[in-house]
Amino acid sequence: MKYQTLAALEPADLDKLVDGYRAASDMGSHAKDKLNDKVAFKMREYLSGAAAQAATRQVGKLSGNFHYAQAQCGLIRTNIQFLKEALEDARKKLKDALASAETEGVKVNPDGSVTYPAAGEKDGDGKRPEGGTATGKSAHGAGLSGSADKQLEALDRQAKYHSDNPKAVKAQEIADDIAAAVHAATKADQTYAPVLRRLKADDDLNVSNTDWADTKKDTAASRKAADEIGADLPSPPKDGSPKDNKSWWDGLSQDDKDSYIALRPNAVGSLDGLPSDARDEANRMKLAETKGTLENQLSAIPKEPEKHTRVGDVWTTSADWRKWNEKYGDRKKALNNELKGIDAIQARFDKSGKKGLPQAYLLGFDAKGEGDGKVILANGNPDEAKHTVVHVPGTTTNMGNIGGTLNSMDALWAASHKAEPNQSVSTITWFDYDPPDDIPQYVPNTGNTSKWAEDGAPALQRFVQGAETAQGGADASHTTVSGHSYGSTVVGQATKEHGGLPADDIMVQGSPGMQVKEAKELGVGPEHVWSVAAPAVDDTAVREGGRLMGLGDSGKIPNDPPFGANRMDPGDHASSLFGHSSYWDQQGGEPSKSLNSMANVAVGHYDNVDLLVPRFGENE
Amino acid sequence: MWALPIVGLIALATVWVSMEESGSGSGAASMSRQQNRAKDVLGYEPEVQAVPKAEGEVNGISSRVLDWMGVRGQVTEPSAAAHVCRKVDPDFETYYVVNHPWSVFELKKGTFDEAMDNLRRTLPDKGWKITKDGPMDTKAASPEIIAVQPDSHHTLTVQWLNSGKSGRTELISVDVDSRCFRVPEGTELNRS
Repeated sequence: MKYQTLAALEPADLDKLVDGYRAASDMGSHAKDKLNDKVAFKMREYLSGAAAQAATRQVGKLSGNFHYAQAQCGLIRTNIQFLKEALEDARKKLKDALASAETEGVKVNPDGSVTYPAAGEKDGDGKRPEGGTATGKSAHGAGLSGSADKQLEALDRQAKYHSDNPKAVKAQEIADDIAAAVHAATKADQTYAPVLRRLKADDDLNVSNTDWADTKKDTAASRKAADEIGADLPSPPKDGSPKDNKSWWDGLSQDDKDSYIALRPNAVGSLDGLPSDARDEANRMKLAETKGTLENQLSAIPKEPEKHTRVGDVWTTSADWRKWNEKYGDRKKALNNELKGIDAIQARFDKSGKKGLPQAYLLGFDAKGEGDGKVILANGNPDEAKHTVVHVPGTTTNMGNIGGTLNSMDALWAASHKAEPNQSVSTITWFDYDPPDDIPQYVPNTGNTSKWAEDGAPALQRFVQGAETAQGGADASHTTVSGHSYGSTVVGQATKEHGGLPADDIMVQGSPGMQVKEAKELGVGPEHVWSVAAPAVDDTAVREGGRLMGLGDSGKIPNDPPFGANRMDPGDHASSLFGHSSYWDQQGGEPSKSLNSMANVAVGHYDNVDLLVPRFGENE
Repeated sequence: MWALPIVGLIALATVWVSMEESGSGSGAASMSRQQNRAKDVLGYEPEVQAVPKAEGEVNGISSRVLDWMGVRGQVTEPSAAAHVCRKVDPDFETYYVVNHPWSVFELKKGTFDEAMDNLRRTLPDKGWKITKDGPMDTKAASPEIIAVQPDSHHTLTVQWLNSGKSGRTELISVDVDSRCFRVPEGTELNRS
């Protein structure tokens, strides 16, 4: 780039482009939201049948296209915005240099060098100091930042001071400034040209897995470009509290918020304290990109060969299959498992409006997370909820079976809404820790049995604090933290973290122990601690197993009367063998007592909770 | 001394679960195998029924119950929905139940007292058998009516809650629940 090109440049012209892409991205966002929240929502509410289903699917596809347009145009807007800011900076630097040249009476040449005239007065030798031409330092591509360069530069300037012509020093400064401005502009141009080129979409109407996988790469490239030119995008406070995060976010302009979501969806999506709308936006972006990437990886795995082969008259496992299995078997299983979780989340999105379910908010997502995946999903906007439930699932939870927990939280939402229809409710699945993969994993000799809880507790505490912050303080919503199975151990551990757990009620289902001796240690008052246990073999095994492994302090677990929790009647919905997961089920022609009781805890109607009558001789 | 029986139970349960899983698959033979097992567990053979039809029946019962109450007021929006029939199919693939939790509140016509009385009178006339009519087992001891439809095996649970409680919505809470059904071949339960 020549300096004249830069001087003639009007970066403000790019504003029109920025505005255009901002409008396009907003249009994509609005159209997508309208299709999801209004059109498909209402279609699912009022229409049924195969044709309606097919039509709703098409609407879903169209909404996916708008989502893609929103993502791509959002990236383009952000990139052009940063390019514009970089060019404006460079241009300002150049204008300043040209103005100094004018004042100093030196001449700027077309190549950016600066010619200064001979000095007007003769010096001691009776000679007039000669004129000359100064060439800017960075014009030849030399970096301005290297310390060696800096030293050279300093020496150079020193040498010039020895020149008899005072204009020489000034001319050199001006030439350097011009070179630096041209260099910065050239760098911005060279950085952004390939990024913007790669953001060219193919022109078909089908947004494929590859398109979304590419968006992930586009985002990474855009992020790198912004880092390279030192774009002015304020970072969130380092290790900030949810409150710090919220005040940082609230201080950003809308453009900066949009740029942040476009460039760093992962960071925005998992930042506690931010509004649920922003987190949802970022995580849906991440969900679409992850799905595209995983589907592509799955289809890159070669077809599974025939497993069995007949040698003589025996069937054996074929060598081809064994070779395939060794190389791809585990990977394929893992990919399918992760995709199953993504499908379960998508299935929940598709249920919004259907059968009266509220909008879903994806407050956290990662296919891997702390090991088994991460899914934080709210039924109903938690920022506006009068009653909030944060539920932590237990042992063996992973991406592949997260759908079961999501369904349970749907059921709890419906039962809570029924119990208090005039106050909004949000039920949140919080799966952001690495639970034990099976019960034997917490057998005593495997080491620290509370390790999973200790690892998960700080994140749970931060999330609940963040929800409270986004809601507008501790009194804005009545919050119940719920834990199923080993999830209750995480909840108990979180109450022991510095500052405790900002909950009003704590309820646990099939708890194997909460790391405390008594309900009153949980920090909400024993009258606000609720426990339910199923009279089923598997539930007993989990609870007694936990007791044995020391998950409860002093051998006490929540459903023991001396623990001091309110013990809820599980009802007789559970079978005698399997009941550990059926606390939310209304099945076999009977409503679930435990579900209705948990719903009444959730909305704070404590006297509607069905408690167990103490058995004869039992301590209350 | 606790360890042995517990580990034993877990092992047993695991074996049982894997036996369950081996029964899955498609085709007529596997369907009848699954149906036999369901019958063993549930005590009845689940009827094969498309989800919208089973949900429609429950929605129909709900709206008749509201009529029989003889009051007018606001009703919560959610309609009947299929959920897991955990006893036989914890993965929610082939078997399901239908639940409809709803409530009526902010009455414009009639009273909650009348609504409960009307149900007491009407339910038996309409072929429902009242199995409980009395206070709930809660501190508030609110009135509760439980009834069953002997032919369709739907159950109805009606609770008059929050009477005289300030800051809460007084309402009649209703649960209409079905027994377990089986989806017709080729239906994706999780997406219905």
